[in-house]
Formats: sequence, C-alpha cells, structure tokens
Amino acid sequence: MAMANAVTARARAMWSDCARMCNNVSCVVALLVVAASLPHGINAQVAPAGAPPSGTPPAGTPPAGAPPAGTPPAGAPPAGTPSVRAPLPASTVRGQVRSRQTQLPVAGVQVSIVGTSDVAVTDESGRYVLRTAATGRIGVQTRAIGYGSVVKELDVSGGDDSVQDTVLDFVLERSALQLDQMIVTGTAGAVEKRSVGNAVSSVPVADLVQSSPTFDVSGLLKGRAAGVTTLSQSGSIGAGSALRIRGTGSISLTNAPLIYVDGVRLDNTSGSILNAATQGSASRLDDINPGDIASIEIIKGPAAATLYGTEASNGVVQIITRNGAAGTSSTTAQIRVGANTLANQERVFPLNWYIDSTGTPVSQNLVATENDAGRPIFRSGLLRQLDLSTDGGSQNARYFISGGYLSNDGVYANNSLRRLTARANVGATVTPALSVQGNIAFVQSTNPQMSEAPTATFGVVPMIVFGSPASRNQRLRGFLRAPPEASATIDQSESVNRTTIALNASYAPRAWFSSRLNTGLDWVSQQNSTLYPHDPTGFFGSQSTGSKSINQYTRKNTTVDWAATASIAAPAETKFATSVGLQYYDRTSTLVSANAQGFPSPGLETISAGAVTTAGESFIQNKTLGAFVQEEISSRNRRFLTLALRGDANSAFGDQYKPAYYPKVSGAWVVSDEAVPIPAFLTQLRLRGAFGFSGLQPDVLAAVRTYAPIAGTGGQPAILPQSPGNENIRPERSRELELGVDVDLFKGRGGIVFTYFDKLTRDAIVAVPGAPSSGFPGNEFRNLGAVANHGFEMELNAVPVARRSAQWSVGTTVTRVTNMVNSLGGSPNINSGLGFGTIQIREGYPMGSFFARKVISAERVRADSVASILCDNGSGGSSPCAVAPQVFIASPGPGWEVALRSTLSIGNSLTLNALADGQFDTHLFSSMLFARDAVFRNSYLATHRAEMSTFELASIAVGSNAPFVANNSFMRLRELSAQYVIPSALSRRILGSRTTTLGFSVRNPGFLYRHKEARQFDPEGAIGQVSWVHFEQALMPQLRSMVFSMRVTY
Amino acid sequence: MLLLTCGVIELAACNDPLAVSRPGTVTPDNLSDPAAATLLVNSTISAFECAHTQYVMLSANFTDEMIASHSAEVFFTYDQRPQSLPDFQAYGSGGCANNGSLYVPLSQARFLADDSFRRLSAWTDAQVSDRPLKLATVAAYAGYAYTEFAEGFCSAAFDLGPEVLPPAMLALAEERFSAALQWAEAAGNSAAANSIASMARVGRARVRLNRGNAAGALQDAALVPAGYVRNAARAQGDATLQNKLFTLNAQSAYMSVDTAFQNVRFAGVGDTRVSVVNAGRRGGDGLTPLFIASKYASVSAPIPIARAEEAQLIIAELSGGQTAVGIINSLHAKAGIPAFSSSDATTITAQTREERRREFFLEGHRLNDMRRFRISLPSGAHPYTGIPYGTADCWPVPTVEIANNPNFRK
Repeated sequence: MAMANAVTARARAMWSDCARMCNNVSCVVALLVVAASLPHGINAQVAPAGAPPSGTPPAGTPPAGAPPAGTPPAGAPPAGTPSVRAPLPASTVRGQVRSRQTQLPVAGVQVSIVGTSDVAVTDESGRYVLRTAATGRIGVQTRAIGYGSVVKELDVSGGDDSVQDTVLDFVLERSALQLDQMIVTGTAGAVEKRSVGNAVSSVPVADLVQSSPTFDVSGLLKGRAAGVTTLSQSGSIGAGSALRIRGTGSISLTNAPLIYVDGVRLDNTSGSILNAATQGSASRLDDINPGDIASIEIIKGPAAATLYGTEASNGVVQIITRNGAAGTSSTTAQIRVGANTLANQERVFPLNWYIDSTGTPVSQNLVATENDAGRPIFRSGLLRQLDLSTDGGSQNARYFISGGYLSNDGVYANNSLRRLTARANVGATVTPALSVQGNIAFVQSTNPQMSEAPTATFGVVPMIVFGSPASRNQRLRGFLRAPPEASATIDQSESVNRTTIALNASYAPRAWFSSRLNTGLDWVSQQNSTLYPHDPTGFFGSQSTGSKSINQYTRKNTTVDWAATASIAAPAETKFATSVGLQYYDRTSTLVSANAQGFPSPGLETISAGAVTTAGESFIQNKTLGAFVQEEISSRNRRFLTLALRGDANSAFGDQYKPAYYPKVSGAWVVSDEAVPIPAFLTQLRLRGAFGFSGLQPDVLAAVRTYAPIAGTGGQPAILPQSPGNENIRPERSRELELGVDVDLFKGRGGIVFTYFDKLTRDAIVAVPGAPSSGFPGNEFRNLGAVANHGFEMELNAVPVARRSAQWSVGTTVTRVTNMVNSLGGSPNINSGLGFGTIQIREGYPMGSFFARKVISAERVRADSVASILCDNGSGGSSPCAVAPQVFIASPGPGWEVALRSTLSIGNSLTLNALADGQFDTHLFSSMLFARDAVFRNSYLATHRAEMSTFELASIAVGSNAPFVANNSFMRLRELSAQYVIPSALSRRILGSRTTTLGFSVRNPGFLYRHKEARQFDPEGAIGQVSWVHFEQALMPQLRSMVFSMRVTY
Repeated sequence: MLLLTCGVIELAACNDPLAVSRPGTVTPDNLSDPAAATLLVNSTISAFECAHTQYVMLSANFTDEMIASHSAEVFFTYDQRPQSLPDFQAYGSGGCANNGSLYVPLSQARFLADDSFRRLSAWTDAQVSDRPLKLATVAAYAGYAYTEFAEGFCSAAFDLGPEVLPPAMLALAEERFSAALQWAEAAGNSAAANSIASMARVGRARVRLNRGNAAGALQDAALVPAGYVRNAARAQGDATLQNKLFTLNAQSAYMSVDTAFQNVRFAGVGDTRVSVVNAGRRGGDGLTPLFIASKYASVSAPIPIARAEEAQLIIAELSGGQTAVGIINSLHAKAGIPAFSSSDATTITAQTREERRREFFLEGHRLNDMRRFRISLPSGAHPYTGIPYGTADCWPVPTVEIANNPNFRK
C-alpha cells in the first residue's frame, strides 16, 4: 500500500510538472507513456543520484536510453555528488551563457547538475532556467558545440521548505577539440571524448538541417565526416548513396556500416533493390527525417567498434534523435520550398551522331530539339517540405513530437518522392534512479523512379544518350527505343512503410553503478513495383502486351541490449570503471513477389489480369547473441587505458565454428593537462591509440547445404539442389591499429585532429561458385581472403575571425585510403560481371580494379583504321592482342577525399555557409562511353573515326575496354547557403514567434574541378549496389536544388 | 567477469537462442528419411524436364532450327557459336530460369537422379512403396541426362570428378538405362513400369546407336510399342515450368524459325510436322523476320523426351531398304503427306535422315544428327544482323566447372 501511494504521489508530481511546462496534447501523450512505463515495486524513497537520459542535447549526447549526459563518467568533473535528494520542492538555478571571444549569448548550451539528470538548454538569448532537487555542494556544468565545458560549484541549502533561486552566469571559451563532449561507445555510460582512444566523428545534424538544402541523411553526411565516403548513384530523386567507412574490406559481403537509432539497430540495407535493373536504388538510411535527428556519431573501424561485435567491422553509425529538455518548451515550424533542375540541360548530354546514306555525319541535340518543339523532356521539379515539432520538458518528463511532409519532384515525369514522417519521443524520470524513454517513429514514402539501365529498359537518360538521328524523322524522334511520353507511362516505384520503436530504461541505484536496457524494433515494409501498361504502339518490345511485378519486402530488426557500468575510485585520483553488456539481435527478411505477363487489353493492370502469372516467397533469419566486458582505468582524468573483450555467437556460423571473440585495447593521454611544459599556442594536446578487432558475419545460409523448393511437374512438390554450404564458415575478422593526435591551437582558434589507421581483414569471405558437377551450383562462402586498408584522416579547423561583429570559421577534411587485396586464398580472380569483365578482384591489387587487354602499339594505316596492333603481354613485352592477358589499368579508389567548409556569421543574425567536397585518384568503367563509341556508335568519335586516337581505335578493334576506364576525379561546390535570423522583437511583432529564421540555399551549384579524362556527363554517379564496383551507365546527373526556407519557433 | 561473459556466449552457442527458421530451404537432413522417396522422384523428373527444355531450346538456336532474333538475349550468343562461349557469365551460372544456362540445370538434374538412385538403393521395399519403380524411374531420367551431356557438350564432369568425354558419357548413360530396365522388370507388369521400360529402351537404343552398337540398338528399338511417348510436361507458371520453345518464339520474339525449316514440303505438300507461320513482323532485334513454329502452340505444350517414332527411325536408319521405306511411309501417312518410294540405298538413307530432321523438329535431336551426319552448322554471318558465326559444334565446359572442380584436369 505504501508503495502504491509512493507511485501515486510521483505521478501527481509529474502531472504537475507537465501541466506547468506545456498546455498541449503532447503532455497527455507523455503522461500516458509514463504511466504505462511505471514498473512494479518502485520505491521513490530509495533514490540516490540517478542517471536518466538528458533533454535535448547538443551533438554528442548519448541516445535516449544510453547513459545520460549527466552520468558521472570516469574522470567526471570534481564537483561532488549531491547529497540526499528529496523529490520536491526544487531549487532554481538560472543565468546566461556567453562566448568569451564574441561576448554574444550562446544558444543550445546544455546546463546540468553534475551527477543528476537535471538539465536545461539555453534559449536564443543564452538564458537557461534549471530546476533541481539537489542540495548541498553541487556542480553546474555546461556542454556546447564548439566550446569547452565549464563547471561551477554552488551551495544549495537543504531543508524541506527551502526553495533557493540562484543566478549563475557562464562565459565559454572556444574549443576546437571539445574533449568534454559525451559520446557513445557501446557501454552503459556515454563517456567523455577525452577518454576514448579512437576518433569519433560527430555530425551536428540539428544545426545542418536549418541551413543545408538536403533532405536525406546520406546527403547530409557528404563531406562532413573524415573517413566516411558517400558514393552517389543517380541524380534521380530518391536515389541514395552508398556509405563506406575507411575503404572496402569485404569481398562478398556488405560494406555498409551498422546503423543504430537511439540504441536500436536499424535495417541498414544499402542500395536496397528498387528494381533489378535500376541503378539509382534508395538507401533505407534516408527514410529518417533529418529534422528529427540531434546528431550522428560515426564509429569508424574495428578498433573502435569492438564492442559492437560480429557485424561491426564496417563501422557503426549512431543516430541520436531529438528530445525535450527540462524547463523549456518550444514549437517549431520549418517550411522549405524550392526547385530541382538539371543544370545546363541542353549541353549536359553529348550530341548523338550517325552517318547518313551520303556518308555525311549528322548530329542531333535531343534535349534542345524537344525544347524547341514545345515538348521539354526535363522540367523543374517542385520541392516542398513542412516540418512541425514541439519539444519541452520538466524535471521529471520530457518530450519531442514531430511530423513532417516532403514532396520532392525530380526533373522527369515519373520521378518524385513523397515522404510523411512522424515521431514521438517521450521520457520520464520515474524515480531518481530510474528513467525510461519511449521513442516511436513512422515513415511512409512513395518514390517513383525510372530504371536507368539501357538494356531492355526505358529510362529517359539512356533513351537520350543512346539515341540516333537516324530515327529523328520517325516516331522515335531520335530516341533509342521510346520517346519520353512513352517512358512516362511506365510506373516503377518504391513504397515504404516503416516503424521504429525504441524503449530504453536507465537504472542507477548508486552513484557508482549505472545500467541501461535498450530494446526496440525496426519494421520495414517495402514494396517495389513495376508496371508496363499494355501498349499497342509497341515501343516496349516484348513488354508491349504489358507486365507487372510486385516485390513485397518485410524486414524486421529486433534489438535487446543490456549494459552496466560500475566505477570505483582508488587513491591518487585513479578510477576503475568496469562495464559488461549482453546483446541479442534478431533480423528477419521476407520477400513475397508476384509477376504477371501479358494483359489481354489496355487498362488491365492487376497481377491477376496477366496471361501468365507467377509468385514467389523467401524468408531468411539471422540471430546474434553477444556479450562484452570492458575495464577502463583512468588517472587524474587525463590518462586513460581501456581493455575490452567481445564475444559473439551467430546463427550463420558453421556448426564446426563456435563463438567469435574480439579483444581491444586503447589509450588516451591529455598531455596538455599534465604539468609538463608545452608551447603556449598549444591549448590542448591529446595523444591516442587503439588496437582492436571486430567481425562481419557470413551470409545467413552460408553454413548450410540447401535445396530450394520448386514447383514440380503436375503441381507436385519438388526440390532442386542449390548451395553447397560450408560447415566451417566463420566470420570475417578485421583488426585495426589506430593512432592519432588532437591539437587545440590558440585557445580554440584552430584545431587539428589527425588519425592514422591500418586495417586488415582476415578470413575475408569469398563467394566461390560451386562447380556445377557437384549438383550444387550456388555460391559457397569460404574464408579465403585478406584485404588491407590503411591511410589517414585529418580534420583542420580554424577561426580566423572571432569578433562580436563577425565570426568566420573554416575547416577542411582530408582522407587518404589505400586498399589492397592481399590474398584470395588460392581461389581464382573474381569478376564482377560488370564492365564486360573489366572490374575484378585480384590478389595484389585494390579491390575492384580494372583489367583489360592493353594496346601498346598500333599502326595507323588509314585515317580511320589501324593495323599491326600489339598488346601488353603482362610481363613488360608485347604480344598479339588475341593471346594477350588482361593487365592492370587502374584502381577504383577514391584514394583521396577532400572537403572544404566555411561559415561566416555576421553579428548574431546572418550566417553564410559554403561546402565543397571532392574525390581524387578514383576511376570507373563508363559503360556509357563504351556503348556510344563501340556499340551504338552514335558518339562524335565513332562517326569521326579519323579523330579517334590510335589507342582507342586499336582498342575497339581488338575488343579492349581500356579506353573506357575513366578517371572521374572531381571537386564539387556542394552547398551554398545563407540564413538570416529576424530580430526577435520584429519576429514577435509580425508572427508572434520567439525566433524566425529565413534561409536560401543551393545544392550542387557547380564543379570546381573535373579531371580531363572524365568524359561522362557527371563524374559523380556510379553504381553502389556492390560497393567495390565502380561502374556507370547513362545515369541521371546530380540535380541542382535551390531552396528557400523559413523556420519559426514559438 | 570475463569467465561469466565467455560462459554466456558458449552456452548460447550450444543451445537454442540462435535457432532460426528456414521455411524456404530444404537441407540434406530432410532427405534422409525414406518418406522423402516420392519427393526425390518428383524432383528428379521436374529437374530433368526443365533441363530438357533448355537443351531443346538452346540446341535449336545452336543449329539450323532456330535463329536469334533479339540482340540483347542470350540466344544471340548461342546462335553465334563463338569458341568463347564460356566467357559469357550466363553460360555457366544461374538455374533453369536463366535462358542461357544449360550445363548448370543439366548437372542439377543428373545429380538429383543419381543421388536419388543412391538413396533409394539404400532403403528397403518395406520402407518405400513401389521402390523398384521409383528406382527405374530415376535411373531412366539419369540416363537421359547423361545422353544430353554426351550429345551436346564437348566434355563434362560429374560429382566433382575428372573431365569426361562424350564416349564415356554415353557409357554412363547406357549403364543407367540398363539399370532402369532391370528395376522396371522388378517392378512388375504395370502400365507405369512398362512406360518407364519403354522410355529406357528408346534411350538405350539412342545411346547404342551413338556408340555403334547397331544390334543392341535394334534390339531395344524393336521392343518399343507403337504410340509410345514420354513427354516433359510443361505448364503455366514460372519460367522453369514453361515451354520456352513457345514463349521465346511466339510470345517474346527472341528467336525465329531458321530458313531451313520454313516452308518444308514433300512432293509439293506442306509437312505438318514442320508447320511454320510467318508472323509478318520482325523479332526483338527489329531486323530478323519472325517465323513462329506451330509445333508448340501454348506455354503448356509438352515436349517429347522419348517416343515410338524415334525407335522406328532408329530401326529405319540401321536397317535401310524397304524396312526404312515402310517406316517412312507410316510417318508420312500420319503427317498427311504423299508416300515416299525408292529402292536406292543412298536415297533411302538421305530420306531417313530427312525424316529425322522433320519428325524431331524442336525435340533436341538436330545437334547430334548434324554432328553424326557431318552436316555443317550455319556458317558465314547472321543474315540480318551480319554478326559472323563462330566454329563451335559442341558446348565447351563452363569456366566455373574448371575453376572450382579441383579434379577436373587430373
């Protein structure tokens, strides 16, 4: 009975807080969730310093459910743990936070009571109000992006009746390193960056969404994190990018990193299949509304990702969504409108040529011709977005609720994206020791997008670039197989319904102990459909009687993740933090497909209307159970040593292989905190290093010999031998050495973060086709390969101007990666099948290098023909090309990636941003060039062979693809943006809002550099479905987007 | 703590938490029960029927029966007959649904037949009903799989063994047919057993004919009852069930009947066995005129594997003279064309070969016959696309077999 009373009292207190903080429906939702979350047996009286999740955090705050910002990490600031806390009444600490350099107020600063969950965030005027029940000597700490942390101590008098109101202002120093930033490492507690031995990139998405003209997460990451490569595909709306972290390590498995949202593992399908022939496939990462994200942290390699185990060798992307903070409430609306255009549309595609019957070369510019005829192929795609969100919180509850709608049209008729998103994040401090958080997100999207592969498809771009003037006066009007209005009748789209639920609980009954439980489900229902209508005009060839296919994917990722950390203090300011964790992941994927061929008449478009119908279903499941133990030893909060061991068992491991174990050791040393002399300009200096292992699980059925069920004769059930299986299969195992130095120069005016990494993947899994004579022709996965990636990452930041009137900051990111396949374990070279056998994996070369017969001499016998062609014989000599081997032509890269950033703030109201990024030492096979020069022969050179180089003429003559391996290095001006914050008085008067921000931004305004060999119309597009394959074929160029935005906060 | 962690992992590795369901796959354990006997037989038949369809379709393109009429389809390559066929990925990969794949589905069918025979042999009559008939059935289908390997491929390998040349393949085929006949006899005098026996006799006669055993071939052929036919059933459904001779010719226009089989007549009368219709349009390449074979009029039209007419023409070929004339005329009567008469041995031999060409149009005999009778495969260039023809007259082993079978070159 006493217990029930305590719970009731607690609920009343929460309702009281809630009613104070807001007057909207979200409060009711918050309370309902809190009520539903109340555990049995809560004793509100047993409550030493707790550790619930914090409120809206700056970048680096752990995800809800992960240990909160307020958790005392090893080496926490010196403020003492508050004494016994009574639930009510609370004292108030209020004040203002300013920058020392500019004297301007700083918004978004997290102000918290050390050792408690009490937290507030400064508003636009830098002011905060923090309510706390703590008494005695307390520490008040600030954390903010771009500034060092400050802790001030304060005495708060005790007693049941005491309510104290204290004013406490802060002046923050700039910090390029932000060693006090809290980051997620996989343990129960988020830890300060200073203690971590490896580099972690943080992307402050919450800030970027206000300025960037990008609407997807992968686009936001481009150029903003060292070591992270985003490989663009098509420029069609909805085409995602493939993510790679520190190169490609896996030969036959995915190279996509793991993705977590608020501690729950997400479907990380990279380049999920829109259609087998579609090159611009969507990425499931882009389902997430960037407006819901507070920050993204990227854990880059095996040494950093050891605690994530068997699926983490490609790195981990941690997405932390927004949440409310105590003492604040705000409602924000952001409206963005704009247009997507194909820049220079009449000049972007090369002319089509043919030789007419008189032998005269004739050309056509299809885009210009159609424009002149009043039938423009490309349009300006309208872009509209509305995001609404409200957030707030009290001492005991917090919420963030948002809804968003995006309507984004591409530049051709059947390309658009309609995305509806909703999110509710609600958290509650149930007792001082226990807090719970429930997050639910929903996305519904529809993305019509044309296939762009030229073979047997009808995408607009291939119809243009492979067209011929020969048919310009016929119904084709010069297009390859169909004019745009016919292509537009093909309905090819992807629809997604996705729900992600994260339930987190943090429990910290003692100051030295904290634990958390993350559970969640990511449920993706994705439907890909293609409809060729019954077309009596016959443009669609064999599809002219119509066809339809529907692939319905259902993917579920279930996460159960428990971790705990116990800390003890030892003499000489030494601390020991022991962490343990247990994780369980269950991933299922179901595909149900239905196909129909041949509709009896126009207008029929259902599967059942087809003359021939087929159906199929597949189901795969994978489970992982793992655990870790970690010991962190810190001395004087400046020397850190971490030892860890992770173990995993996985359902895909062979019967002969049991758990996989991954050890790790890392260390960090904040040299500048030592009593050693260092130059004055070095404000902070930290050395760090890490060495560790992680893995990548085999394909889910790799260990099992399988037969596939098939439809047998007369409807009888039957089976067919499929994959041979490998009962000895084990995970790929990657080890990495990472060494780095972090330097803060001139009191935050400059910063250098340099990291060298050396990664080696052993037991790399190679899919070796079974010899058909065995009866099992499917792939057998074998642990054969070894793949090395090494290089460095460097981030340089500087603030050349930091005055009250203006601030200018610049930054650059440089990444160097060298990839090498050290071994294929004796198995033959692997051919991707793309690029007509050009793109291969061979020992001693970077993965996906290009190989072809290479012409080294030829005699030009006439203007348009060659003879006496000799090729490289592979050993320095020459040989007839018919017997010459394929030799190395180039590596795919990119070997170098560079990003440049600049931000100019004038006063506190106008901000100008620029971002440029580029990739260098990178090549791809341009099937577009190959097809135009050698197959369709509709290029200028193909019709003016006298102007074709002897090398290319001879190469085409002997069937060598070497001329079509192009260096596609580029540097692109990615974003330009301007933001203006309307003076608050004016904002209040006009809109009644607290703040109003207007913005204008442009994405992809132009190139700063293109390699002279880059003959394809956009060097950036490449297929990313198989991440080591660099291949392009008539892809839609990246679009230019211009966006006006208005953001209003109440 | 470390020990506890390892303990949890080890425990999990040994027990159920990682058990996953695989409702879409069958593992060898599922087949070790005698209850799987019927499934094995059905699977053997299904796999062979699909592989046989591929064989008939691709050999038609390889020879003068069909011509490629779609430049983006694999028939283009089969029709072209380059020596570099193994370089084409589709040639050695994919299953029966893949239009260009034959070595793989025929290998799967052969393995299933042999493996089923081994499993059935190890069980008892008490465990498996109609075990002799089941053994006879899978052995007969195994015989046909080996036969098609021998007649189409330059060489092959079986069960990861060394390279096997066609004569040795024919020997293996004959072994299977003989086993089928033994088990069919053991199965008793039932319609099903007699049907399998006739199938095996037609097959063994064919193999013996190839191996030069005329007496043996005649002996088998003579025992095949009139009217006998064993078909590969075809049906609506996915590509593995369909009659691709119909879908890829009449529906998709990927291939067209070649000129040698257009307007085939005897004494001025159209031969109904080679009925071909000019569709009046071009194929998928926009160049090649589309001629559609009437023989297979639907997606579910069955494709013969063995029939009495084959036995009869084997007798005609080996006996010659008026025996052959009599057989030819019985075929003409059924086809509704005038009778043939001659007493010249060369003329009779030529007509017998011509009868095989017509009678077995699109039934998978033409490639073997052209090679046996030394008839040139198409040469020069594709008459409409101008792509030159290669010189291959049999299918080489796919690279995937050579690369991944460690015993192939031993």
